[in-house]
Amino acid sequence: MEGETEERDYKVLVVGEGGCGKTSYINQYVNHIFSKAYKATVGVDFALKQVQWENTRVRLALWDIAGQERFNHMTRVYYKGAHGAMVVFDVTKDKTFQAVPRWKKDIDSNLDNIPTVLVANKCDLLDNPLDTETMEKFCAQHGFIGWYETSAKENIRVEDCGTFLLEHLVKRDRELNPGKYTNTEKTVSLTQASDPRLAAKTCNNSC
Amino acid sequence: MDEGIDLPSEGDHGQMILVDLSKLSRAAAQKKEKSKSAKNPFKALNSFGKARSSGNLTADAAASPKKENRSKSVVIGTRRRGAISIQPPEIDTTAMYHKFEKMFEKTRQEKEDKAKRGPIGLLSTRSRVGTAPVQQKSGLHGPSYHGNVLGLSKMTIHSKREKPPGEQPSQKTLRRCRSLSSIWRNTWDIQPYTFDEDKWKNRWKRAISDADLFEPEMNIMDAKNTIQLDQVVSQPIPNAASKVLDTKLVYEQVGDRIVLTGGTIERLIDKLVWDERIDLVYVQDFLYCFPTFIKSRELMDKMEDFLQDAKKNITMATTPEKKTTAVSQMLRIVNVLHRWIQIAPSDFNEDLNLRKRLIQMIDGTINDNVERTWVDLLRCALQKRCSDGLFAMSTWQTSPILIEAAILRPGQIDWKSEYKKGMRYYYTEGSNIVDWVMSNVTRDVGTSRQDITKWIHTTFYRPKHLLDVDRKSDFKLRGSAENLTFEDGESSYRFRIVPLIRPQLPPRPKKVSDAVFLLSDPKEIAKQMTLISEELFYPITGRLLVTQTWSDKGSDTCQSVKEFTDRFNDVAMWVATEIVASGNMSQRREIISRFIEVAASLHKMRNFSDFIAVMAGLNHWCVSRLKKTWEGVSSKSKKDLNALEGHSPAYTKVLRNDHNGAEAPAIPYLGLLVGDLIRLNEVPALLPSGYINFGKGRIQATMLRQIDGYKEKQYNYKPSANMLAWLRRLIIIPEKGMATLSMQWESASS
Repeated sequence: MEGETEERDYKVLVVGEGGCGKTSYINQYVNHIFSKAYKATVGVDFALKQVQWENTRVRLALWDIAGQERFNHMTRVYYKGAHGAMVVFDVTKDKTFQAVPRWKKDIDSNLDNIPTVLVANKCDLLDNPLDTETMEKFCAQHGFIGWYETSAKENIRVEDCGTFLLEHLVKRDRELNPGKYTNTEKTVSLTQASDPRLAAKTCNNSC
Repeated sequence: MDEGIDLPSEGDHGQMILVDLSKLSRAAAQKKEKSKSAKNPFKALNSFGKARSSGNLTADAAASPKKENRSKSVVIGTRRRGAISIQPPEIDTTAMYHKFEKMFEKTRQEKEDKAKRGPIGLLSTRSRVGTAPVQQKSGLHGPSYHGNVLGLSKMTIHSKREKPPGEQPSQKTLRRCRSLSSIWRNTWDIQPYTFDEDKWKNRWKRAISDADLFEPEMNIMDAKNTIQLDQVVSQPIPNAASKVLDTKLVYEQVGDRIVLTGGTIERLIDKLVWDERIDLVYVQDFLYCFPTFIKSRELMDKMEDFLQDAKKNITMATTPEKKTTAVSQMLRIVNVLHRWIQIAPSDFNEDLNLRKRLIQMIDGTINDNVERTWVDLLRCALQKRCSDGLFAMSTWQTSPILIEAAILRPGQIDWKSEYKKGMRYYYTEGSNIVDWVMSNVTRDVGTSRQDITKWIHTTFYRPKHLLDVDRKSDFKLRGSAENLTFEDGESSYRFRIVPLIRPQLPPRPKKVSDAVFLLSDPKEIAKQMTLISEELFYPITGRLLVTQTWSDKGSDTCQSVKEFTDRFNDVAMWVATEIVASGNMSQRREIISRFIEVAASLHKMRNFSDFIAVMAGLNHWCVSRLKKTWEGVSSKSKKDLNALEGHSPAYTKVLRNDHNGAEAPAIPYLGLLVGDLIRLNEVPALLPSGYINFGKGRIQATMLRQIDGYKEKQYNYKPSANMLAWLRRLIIIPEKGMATLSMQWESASS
């Protein structure tokens, strides 16, 4: 088994309006921390998350566009070569939800139908959960593969959401490149192999 | 000297006077021979000439093309001729000189007396700074400190003519003021609907030379003293650390260095002053990042306490050594304050109470105990830094200035409420403001017209108000005035000036005239774009960014940041528009390769903001989908583009290296910095132990220092009015329209 280990790199975009918690979400997903890190690592534009999936070692590069959303035409340069995307919005701010279709359209006009998941972040601040029917309708209408109500702060469904996207990424990869995968079992079993050091690997401190 | 020479003639006032420098210096040399010992008024003139020719003044904007001329003749400002009066060469200089001699004899005598008394201090740096220590209170300015602070620029001159405080200006001065007023009016008279480039260029030149006149002497002195103060302060004080023995600080090893990563607030502040050996880098870092964990008011409280302690130590000192130590400690406080002014002048501009306290400290305790040089250093820094107008003036290269203002004068009334009730505006043009201030609020601002004019300069000359100002009739008063307040505790007057909002831009032309872009030189376009971006980047300081809350109110961030990003987005859209709007395929190809040239120039100029905007425009989906057009783009251009893409944000590491290695002047891509700041904000302000997370602060400080560093120098490209007007009002087709056009040129199927 060990000799056959394959490696896969996926670039995943995390987009959304400013202030809806993209950075926190990535921090929670990759490092399992919500603002606990006291060692500042400035200059990381993407965080790496390593996931063992069957006999494949998958490396997810999560591209954080924090702050870049103000430069709206800028983000397109980031889109290049992405395999998947997450569109994040803040459930407490309607404005960020209103912007979701625009972000999705942006992705679609630059990339060829990549799996995109809708992330309803900050659900810990919400008294009542979102209406499932409306959300599913919304997803179908805008071409999202699914949606997740998450909280980066309380670590609610952050992992699930990532797994869900990964599943689709791998599925799509197989469709596009048949034969690369020897094992075609449908079962997904993820083993956590996150290494926080990897996140800091690309750190390029300006000091 | 103000009264020394009559102005040449009233008719000349609006004109520039070209003075042959060689003649002047020759004349000065002759006079020098006659009396070497006398500190004659030509000294000022000489130093002025020196400063200009050595070109070390920031305002030396149009330096390169004018260099040859400058060696022969120097353009000297008209308006402030009072400060350094230039006599027309035909006047009998010998007689003039004797006149001066007599006039200053008395003053010199007084000064010598003062010098004999000498200030209290331990360091004999006076001899290095100059034999003429600056008069602490230049008499003409009356007792209010503002007069002093503002008057410092003329210290070499004014110190020579002392007048008892509060004395009314003489008839001669008043006459001068009146004539200056007319000059002033002439200089800033606006022709609203015509734009004569040469005329503005001349005005600009005058403005530049005025800026020089403000503080030629000071620039030099400040630079000298900064070094010295650093040297002095970093000297170890053997028993200084005894004050704080509890080491509530956390250190950590990073690489081969041991760095401070945390501590209690008290201990961190103590470390600024009381350590055995002062770490100057630490002082700087702390002053950059302190707003994240302590209010400036509280820091000032602490500094006041420290000052009291130091004062006590000085008075209690029994032996000379002990006194030396105590004074050194006070100097460290001076150092912290000095750095503070340098790093965050906006703190003192925005919080006038803070400013007042600082000035009280300077005029009070510090003045009584420390060598006067250091006191002057603080005052100079305060004057220089806390009037961002001066800096703006030297940054501003492209727009004409129109000074107009409304002044509220509610006396002691709380004007906020009064404002709502409908205040009366004193709506007036710039020169009238001077008159108004002269007659109403003289004591606040200083007595001389120069002070007042300067104060108005410093209040008004901000680039962001000046953009696209060419139609006077478009001006409106802003409902809620920007808080450009000026207030003095000693005075009963309060007033504020309401800046004008930027007039509404004329509607964007609907049709793209494809010729304009192709007719212009790409390098020139890049230069003019850089000038515009520089103007917008100027108000974005490190302190502004550290006090921003980036998270929730993303769209409501401060105006200057918003303007900067808007410009970025406009440029990106404009690039795409220019390409897509052209119906001719070969023309589109040409436009694309021209834009690649523009991008290359921008990158070379270290204007990363516009560089990335142009790259983003080229990557716009409406452009990139035009496969056939791209196929025909010359291979050289494509090669260039590939090389440039390596520097775009998709390769952040390269982009970061570009930013880190960039020398001033540079305009950074703000998205990179903002992204980093947002990620840094995720890092908690406190360590698990409850200490302040200073590791975060240090990184923050490094980033902010970098931002401020980019502004240390300025681009000195020659502004071209036509091109600027065109580039300011970029023609943009909305995305929908662009998509339609793009589809029209190359349909999806082909």
